[in-house]
Amino acid sequence: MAVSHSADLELAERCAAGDPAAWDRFVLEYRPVLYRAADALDRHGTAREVADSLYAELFGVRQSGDGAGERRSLFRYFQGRSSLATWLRAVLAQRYVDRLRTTRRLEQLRDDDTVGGPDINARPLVAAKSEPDPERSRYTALLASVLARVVAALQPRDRLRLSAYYVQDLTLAQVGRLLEEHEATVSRQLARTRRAIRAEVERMLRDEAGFDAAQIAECFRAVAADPGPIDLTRLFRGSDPADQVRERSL
Amino acid sequence: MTKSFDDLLRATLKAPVPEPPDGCLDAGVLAAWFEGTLDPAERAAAEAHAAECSRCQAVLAAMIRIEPPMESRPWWRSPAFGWLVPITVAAAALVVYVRMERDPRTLEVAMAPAAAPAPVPPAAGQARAAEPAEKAERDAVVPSLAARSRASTRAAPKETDRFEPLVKSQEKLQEKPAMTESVAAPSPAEVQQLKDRLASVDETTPQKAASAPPAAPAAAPMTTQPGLVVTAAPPATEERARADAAARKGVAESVMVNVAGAAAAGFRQAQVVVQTVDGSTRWRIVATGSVQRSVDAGSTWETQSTGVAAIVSSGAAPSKSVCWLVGKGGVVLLSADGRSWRHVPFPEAVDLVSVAATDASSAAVTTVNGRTFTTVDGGKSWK
Repeated sequence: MAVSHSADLELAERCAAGDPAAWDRFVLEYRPVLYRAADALDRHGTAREVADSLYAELFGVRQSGDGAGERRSLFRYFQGRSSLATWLRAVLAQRYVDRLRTTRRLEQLRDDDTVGGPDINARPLVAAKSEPDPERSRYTALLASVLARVVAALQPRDRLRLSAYYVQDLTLAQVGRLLEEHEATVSRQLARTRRAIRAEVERMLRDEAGFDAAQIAECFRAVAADPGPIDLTRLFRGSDPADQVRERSL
Repeated sequence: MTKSFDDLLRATLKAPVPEPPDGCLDAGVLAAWFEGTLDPAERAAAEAHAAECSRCQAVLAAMIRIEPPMESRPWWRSPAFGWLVPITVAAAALVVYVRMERDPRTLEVAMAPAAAPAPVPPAAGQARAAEPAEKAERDAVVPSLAARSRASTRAAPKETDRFEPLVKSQEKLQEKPAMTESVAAPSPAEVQQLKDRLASVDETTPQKAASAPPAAPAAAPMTTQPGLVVTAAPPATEERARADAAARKGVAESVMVNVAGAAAAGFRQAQVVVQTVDGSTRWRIVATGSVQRSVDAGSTWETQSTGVAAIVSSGAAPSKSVCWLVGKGGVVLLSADGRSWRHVPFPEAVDLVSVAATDASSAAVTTVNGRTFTTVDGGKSWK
C-alpha cells in the first residue's frame, strides 16, 4: 500500500500517540477544514455536532474506565493513502450519513433535511388513490418487479452512475467527478443506460409476461396515471443492512 | 410517461439490496478514491461495492458536496475558452491569406534607363543559346530591344515559381537582392540602334526624339512592396550622363521586377508602377481594369478605366501622355493622351511580360516565352 502523504501520516501518528504539539498543530490546521466541510453538509448545525464529536474520537479515549488504558485514537486508521484533509472529510461524511440515516429510522424527516441536497432516502413515488384499479395496480407491480431485476443486472459502474444521478441527485459534473468521467460522457452514458433499461423491461414484459405492445404501453401508462395502492418506495424498502447496523449500535 | 419512468427508475434504485459481503468502504479508501490514488483493481472493487451500497453512495455524494472548490485557473485556461486557440489560429491564417490576396505587390517599372548598365547574368548567354533559330533571326532584326526583352524574360518567374508561396519568394528576394536587377539597361548605342531601326521601319515618326521628355536628374528609386525596396544606386557622373542621353532619346523601357514570383507573369494582378523618365508622371495598376495616373510624382492619383479586365504585368511610358501596358493573354493597352485607354489588338493570346516603347506608335513587346513583337503603327500591325 503506497503512502503518498508521509507528512500527514507522521502528524496523525504523533497525534495518535498523544503528542500535545502535534495535536495543537492539528487543531490549528484542520479544524477549519472540518468546520467548512460540516457547514457544507448542512446549515442546521447537525454536521457541526458531528465534527465536534469527531475530536473526541481523534484524540482518543482510554480503553479502561480509570483513564489508564491504551489510547484508541481514530488517527490509527489513517494510512497516508490520501491527504489528511480528504480523509477527515471522508470520516465526517460517514459519521454524518450514519447520523442522518439513524435519525430517519426514528422520526419523520423534515422535507429539506438532506445531505447537502435533496432527500437521500426514498420518498413515495405517488400518492395512493382511494379506489385503485386492480388491473392497473397489477401492471404497476409487474413493471416495478421487472425494472428491479433489470437494474440489478446492470454493470456496477452503470448502476452507480444511475444512483448518483437519480438517487443522490448529483449534477452531471459531480457524477463525472465521482466516476472520473467528463460531464458529456456522463450524460451520454446515462441516456444509453436508460434506453437499455427501457428496452430490456419491454423485452421482459413481452417474453416473460406475454404482453403485447398495447399491454406494455398500458403498463407504462399505469405508472404514469395511477400506480394504485402500491407505494414503490415502501415496496422496495425492506431490511436495509446499513440502517440495521446503525439501529443496533444505538 | 418519461417522467413516470424516471420516477419508477429512481424508486427502484433507492430500493435496498442485500448488503455487500465485503462491508462498507472505509474512510481511507473513500479518500483515496477522491484523490485518485486507488489502483485499478481497488477502484473497480470500490465501485462495485458502492453500486450496491446505499450508505456508501450517500457518503460519496456527501463527499462530493463538501469537496473544496478546485483551484481556480486563469480564465483563459478555462475549458470554456479551449476553442479560442484553434479559432485564433484559423482567424490569423485567414487574415494573412486575405492580406496577401488584397495587398498587391508593387511592381516597379522603371521608365528611365538604369543608372548604370547592369551586368548580364551568367545565365543570359545560356538562355540565348538555347533559344531556337527562329528567335535568333528575329533578334537580329531588333537586336538591342530583343536583348533587353530577354533580360526581362529572365527576370520573369518560371512557370513553376508561380505557385510558390509569395512569402517564400519575398524571402528569396531579400536574401538575393541581385535578382531584382533583372534588366540590363540599354546603352546609348543600343538606344540609338533601336531608334534607327524603328525609324527605318516607320518613316512617319521622325519627331519621336523631339517629343522625348527632359533628362531625368537621377534614376528614380524602385520601390516595390513594403519591406522590399529596391533603390537604384546613385549614378556616377559618366553613368548619369549616359542615362540622360538615353532618356533624351526617348526610349522607354519596361522593367519587370520579379516580386514574389507569381505577380510578374500575371498569375494575378500585381501593382505595376510605370513612370516617365523624370518621374513626374506615373501610372499604376492596382486592380484589373483600373489604372491610376499621377502627374505630381505620386502625390495624388486619378483613377482611369482601361475598359479591359486584364492582368497587367508590365508597362512603359515614353512621355507624360503616352503609356503602354501589356499583360496576360496578349493584352496590350495604350493611352496616347494620358486619359483614355485603347485596347490594342495583338496577334497572339500569349502572356506578355515586358514592353519597350518610344512613343505612341512604336513599341516592342516580349512574350513570356521570349518572343518579341514590334509595332510602329500604334499596334495596328505587329512583326
